[in-house]
Amino acid sequence: MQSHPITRRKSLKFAMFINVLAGFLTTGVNAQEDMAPFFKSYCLRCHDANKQKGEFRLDNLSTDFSDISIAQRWSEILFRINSGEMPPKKEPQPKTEELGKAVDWLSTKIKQGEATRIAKRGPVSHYRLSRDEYGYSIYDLLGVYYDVNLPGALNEDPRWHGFNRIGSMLSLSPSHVDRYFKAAETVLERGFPFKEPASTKGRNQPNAGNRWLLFPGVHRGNFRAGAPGLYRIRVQVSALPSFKGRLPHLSLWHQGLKKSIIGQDVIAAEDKPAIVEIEAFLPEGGFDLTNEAPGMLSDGHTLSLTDVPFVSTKEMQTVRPQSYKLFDEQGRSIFPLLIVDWVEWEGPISLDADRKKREGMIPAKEGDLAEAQKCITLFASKAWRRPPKDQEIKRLMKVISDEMAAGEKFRSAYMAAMVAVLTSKNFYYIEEGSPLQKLAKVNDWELASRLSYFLWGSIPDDLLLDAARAGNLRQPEVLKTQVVRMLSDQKVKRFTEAFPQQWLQLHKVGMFPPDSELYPDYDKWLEKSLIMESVAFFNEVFDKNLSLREFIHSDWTMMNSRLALHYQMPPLKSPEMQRIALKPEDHRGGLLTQAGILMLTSDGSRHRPVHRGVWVSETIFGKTPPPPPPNVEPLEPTPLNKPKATVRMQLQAHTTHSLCASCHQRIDPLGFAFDNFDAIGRWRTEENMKSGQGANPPVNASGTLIDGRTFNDSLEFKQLLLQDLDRFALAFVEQLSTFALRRAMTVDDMDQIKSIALSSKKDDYKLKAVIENLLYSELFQKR
Amino acid sequence: MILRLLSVLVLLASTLILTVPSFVSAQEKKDPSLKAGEFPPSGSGTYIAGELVFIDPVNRRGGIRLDGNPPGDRYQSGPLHYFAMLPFGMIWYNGAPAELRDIPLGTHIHGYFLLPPLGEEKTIPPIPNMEKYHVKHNHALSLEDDFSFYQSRGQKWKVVSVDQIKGKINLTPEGKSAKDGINKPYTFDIDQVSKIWQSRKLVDLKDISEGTMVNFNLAWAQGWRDNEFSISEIWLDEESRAFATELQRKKHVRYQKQRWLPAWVDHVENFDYGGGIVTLTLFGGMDKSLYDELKATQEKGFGVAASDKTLRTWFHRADKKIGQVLDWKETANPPAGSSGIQVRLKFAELLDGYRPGRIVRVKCHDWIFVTMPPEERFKSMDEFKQSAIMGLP
Repeated sequence: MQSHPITRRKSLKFAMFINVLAGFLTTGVNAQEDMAPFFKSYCLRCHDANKQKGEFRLDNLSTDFSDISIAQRWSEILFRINSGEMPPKKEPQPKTEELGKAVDWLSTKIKQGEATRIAKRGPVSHYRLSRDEYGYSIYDLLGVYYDVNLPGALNEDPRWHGFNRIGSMLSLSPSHVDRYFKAAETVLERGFPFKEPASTKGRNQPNAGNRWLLFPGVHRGNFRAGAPGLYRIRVQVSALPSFKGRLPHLSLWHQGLKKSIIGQDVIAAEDKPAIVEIEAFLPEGGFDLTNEAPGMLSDGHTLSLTDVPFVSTKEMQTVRPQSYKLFDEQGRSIFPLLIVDWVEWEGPISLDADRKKREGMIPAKEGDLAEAQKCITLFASKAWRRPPKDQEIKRLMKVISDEMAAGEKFRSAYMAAMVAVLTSKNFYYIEEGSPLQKLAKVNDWELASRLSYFLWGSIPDDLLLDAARAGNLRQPEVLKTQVVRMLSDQKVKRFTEAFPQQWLQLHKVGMFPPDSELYPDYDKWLEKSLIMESVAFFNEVFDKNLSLREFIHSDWTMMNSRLALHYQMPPLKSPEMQRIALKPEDHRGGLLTQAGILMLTSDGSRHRPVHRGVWVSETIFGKTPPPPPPNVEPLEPTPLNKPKATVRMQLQAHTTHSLCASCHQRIDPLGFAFDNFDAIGRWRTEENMKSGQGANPPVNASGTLIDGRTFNDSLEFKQLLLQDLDRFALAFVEQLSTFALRRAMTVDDMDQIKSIALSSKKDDYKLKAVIENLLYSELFQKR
Repeated sequence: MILRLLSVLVLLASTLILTVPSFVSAQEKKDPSLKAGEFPPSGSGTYIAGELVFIDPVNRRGGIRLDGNPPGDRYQSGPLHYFAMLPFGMIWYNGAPAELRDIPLGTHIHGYFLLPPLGEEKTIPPIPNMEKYHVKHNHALSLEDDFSFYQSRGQKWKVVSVDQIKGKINLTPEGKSAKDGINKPYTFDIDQVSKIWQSRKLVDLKDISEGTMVNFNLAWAQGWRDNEFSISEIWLDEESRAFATELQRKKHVRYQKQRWLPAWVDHVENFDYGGGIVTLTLFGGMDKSLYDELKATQEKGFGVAASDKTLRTWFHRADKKIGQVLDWKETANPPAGSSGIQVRLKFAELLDGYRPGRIVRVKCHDWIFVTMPPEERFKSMDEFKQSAIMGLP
C-alpha cells in the first residue's frame, strides 16, 4: 500500500511556517510592525483558519522570536520567499520593494532573537554516548572488545532522522544504568583478569580422502570460541559459483545467536582450493562454517546429502532422485558451492597494542594506595576525557577503602573503583559547559572530545589530550595539526562508516523485507552489500578527497560480486568490494541510483515514489515536506478487471485534490525520476504489476520540478540536481554538523553553515575540505 | 556327425527366420526407438496378443504366451514374450483403466508394443539360449483384455448358438470391425467354469440366449496352438457390463490416488537462489475424474514425487515437493500415452529427479497421504539399479 511520507524535521518547519504566519498577523506583526497587509495580501488566502495548504497556517503564528521553534518557522517562511516558491506563481505577486521589506523584516527579527535564544540554553549540555561509541571508547581505553550489539548488552539508541547520537534523544533509563554496570564489570574482568585466558588453537577436517560439501544452508566445521576476543580463522576451501555466476558466501555462524557474525564471497576452483583467512572479534560460543548463499535446502524431510561422504562434484552427479537437485542438466552446479578441506582457529589473540593501553591503570604492588591513586587518576582522566577533580579522586579512593573495610582484597577493591569510573556519567555522557558560568564556546577538553567523537567515535588519544592539557588546541595551527593527524588515522573509518549510514538512513534498508514471491533473488548478503555499497562509496569519496558532486552523479561506483549480479553487470574478477567504472547504459552513478538508497523507501512489495521524493528532498535539499493530511486513503491494488496501472498512474489519480496536489507536485517528481528502478533497485523499463488486465505498463520517469525545469529520466534529473550543487552542499554541511555537534541545526546556525559551504566551494566542495572547514569553523566550537 | 551337422544347419536356418519375424520387421521401420521425453507417433505400435501368464506388478512387467503357434514351434518350445510397460503405457480391464495386477493371470490380452526407448534396450534381456525367439517390440504402449479391446473399438458380439453339451459357443461380430484381434464369426469353448454375468449375478450356461449381445474375456484352451480359446467370463447385459466396469474404475481411482498420477518432466528452469519452474505432461489412460479433480484444486498446488520408468517411488509422501501451479494447459488429440495436459509449477526447492524426460508422480492437494507397501518403494540405490532390468522367472 502506498502511504504518505512520515513527517520529518523540515516538515515541522513548513507546518510551523503556516501556524506562525497566522499568529503573527493577530498578535505580532499586525500590531507592531505593520507587516500584516503583506501577509494578508499574499499568504493568508491559502494559509489561514479556513485553508491550510501544505498543512501550514500563518494567521495565528506568534512573533516571539526568542522561542526557537517560532524562529524556525519564520525562517522557513523566509526561505520560501527567498527561493521564489512563495507566493506561488499563479497567485498575485508582491512588488519587489514589498518583498524586500518583508525579507528584511523577517531577517532582522530572526537575528534579533538569536541572543535571547542562546541565552535560554542551559549552562551544561549532556550528550550520552551512542551504543557504538561506548564500544569504541572501551576498546580505545582498555583494548577490550565489548560487543555492544549482543542481546542484553546495551540498549539500541533511538534515531532522529537517521542520526543515533543526538543528545536530546539519548536519554538515560534505569535499564541503561543496569547495563552500564554489567558492561563495566565484564569489560574490566576481561581487561584485568585474575588469570589470562589461554589462547586456543584447533583444526577440524573431514575424514581422510573426503571433503565437506557446503551447499546453501549446510553447517560444518564446528569449533568453539572459549572467550570473546580477537580470533584468526583459516579455511582451505574450493568455492564454485552457480551456473549464473553467483558466488558462495563463506560465513562464520554463531550457534547460540543463530546468525552469521562475519562472512565473505569466495571463488576458488575445485582442484585449486584457496586458503581464506578471517580475523575478527568473536563473541563467546560455538561456531560453524556455513554457505550463506540463498537457496536454503533444509525442509527436514528431503534426503540430506551431508551424510554422504563427498569426494568430488563429479561423483555427486548421480544421486537419488528424491534428494536435492544440486547440478543442472549440463552438470553445472545450480547453487554456489563450498567444498572445505579444513578449518583452523586460534584465539583469543592478545595484541601488544591492546595490552599497552592498559599499562599503568592497575597498581602492580598489592596494597599500595599511593600507586592506586596514581593509577585510578590515569584511568579516570582517559575515561572521562579530562583531568579528574581532586574531589572526584577522593571519592574513588574512598570506594577502595570502603571495599577493603568490607573485607575485599586490595585488587577487588581497586576494581570496584574502576567500575565506578566506567559507570560514572562522566564516562557515558559527553558533558559541555559549566554550571557556574554561561559559556559560548567549548573549552579545550570539550573540543578534544568533540573532535574525537566526531572523527573516531571514541575517546581522544594521548596526543589530543596533551594538546588539550596544553590549552592551545583551539589555536588554528594546533587544531589543524591535530585534525590532519586524525583524518589520516585508521580510526577515521569509524566516521566514514557511521556518518553515511546515519545521513542516508541506511538502517531502513531491509526494514520492510521484500516479498519473497516478487523478489526471490533478494537475500541477506545482498542486503548487507547494498549498505556496504553506499558506505564504501562515501569512503572512496573521502579517501580520494572527491567533490560532493560525486554523491549526485559519478561515472563509477563501489561494487562486490553480489552487487554485480544484482546490477546485471559482468562478473567481477575478485569478489570483494571494489571501484568499478560505469557506462551510461548501466544507469547508475552517484548515491541516488544505488539499489540500497532506492529500496530503503520501498514497502516490501513495490517502490514508493512519494517516499523516494521525500528522501531526496530531505537528503539532497535538506527540506522535509509537510506531513500528509490525516485519513488519507491508501492506494489500493488495481482491480483485476481494470487495465494495469503503474504506481505513478494511481498516484496521479489520487492527488487530484488541490490541497494534495500542492504538496505532491513538489515531492512526487523527485521520486518519479527513479521510476525506472523497482522496489529493490533493479533497472526496468516496464512496471511489473500483479493485478489488472493487459500488458505491464511502461515506466514514465519524466517530470517537472516546482521551478519549471523538466527531465526525462533519472540521468537528466541528476543533471538538474548538479545545477543546484550549492544547495546540496548547504544541506550536506547541515547534516554533517548535526552529526558532529550531536544536535539539530537551528536557524541560529544557518549563517555559519552557509559560511562553511561557501568556504568549501572554493575547493570545489571536496569532501575533506568540507569536513575541515566545519572543524575549523566557529560553529564547531560553539556551545 | 552328419546328423549333428544337419541339425545345426536346421537350427541356424530356423533362427534366421525366427529372429526377424515378419510381423515385427514390417513395424520396425514404422516405430523408431523413442527418446526419453517423447511420446510415440500416432498409430505406432505392433499388435501382439496372447495370454498373460506372468507379471511383476511392482515393476509393471510381465510375460505373454503368444496366440497360436508362432514360428519355431514357439508354443511348444519357445519362451513367453516378456515385456515392460512403457511409463506412459496404458492398461484396460473390464472396460476401465487398470494396473497389471488387476488382470487375472490366464487372461487373454491385446497389446501394442514398441521398441525399447533409446538407452533402455537391456530392460528386457534376451533369454539365454532362446535368443532366436526374442521379439524386440517388448515395450507395451497398451494392454487390453477382450472386454475392453472390442468395446473400445465398437465391435460387439452376438450369440449365434450355444452347445451346452459340447461346451461351445458361437459368436458373430456386430457393429464396427476391429482392425486387429478376431473380427469374424468364431466358436469358443465354454463350460461350467466360465463366469456368466447377468445384472449383478452369476447365472448358468442355460441362461445364455441366442441373439444376446455379449462381452467376454478369453483364456487358454486345449487347442491354443490352433488359435482356440475358452471363455473365462461373459457378460450378457448392459447392467452386468456397467457393474464390472464401474468396479474396476473405482479400484483404479483408489490406486492412483494412493500412488499419484504419473507424468514426465518436459522442461525445468533452475533458479540459483533456490527452486525453479517445472513443466510436466501428465500421462494418459487415467480415469477422467482424476484429471478433473487435479484441475479443480490446482490453486492449492500439487505434490510432485520423483519416480522412474517403472512408476515406482521412494517414499513419496515425504519425498515430494509442493509446487504452485502457474499454468494448466490442455491440448486436443494428444499423442498416444499423453493426457494432453501440461502443467507449469513453481517450486521453492527442486528434487534431483526433476529433470527433462524423467518420470514423476503428481498428487492432488486433497488426496490423503498413504505409505506404499515396502516392496513397491525404492529403499536403496541398489534396489533402484536392480529395477532397471527385468528379473526373469
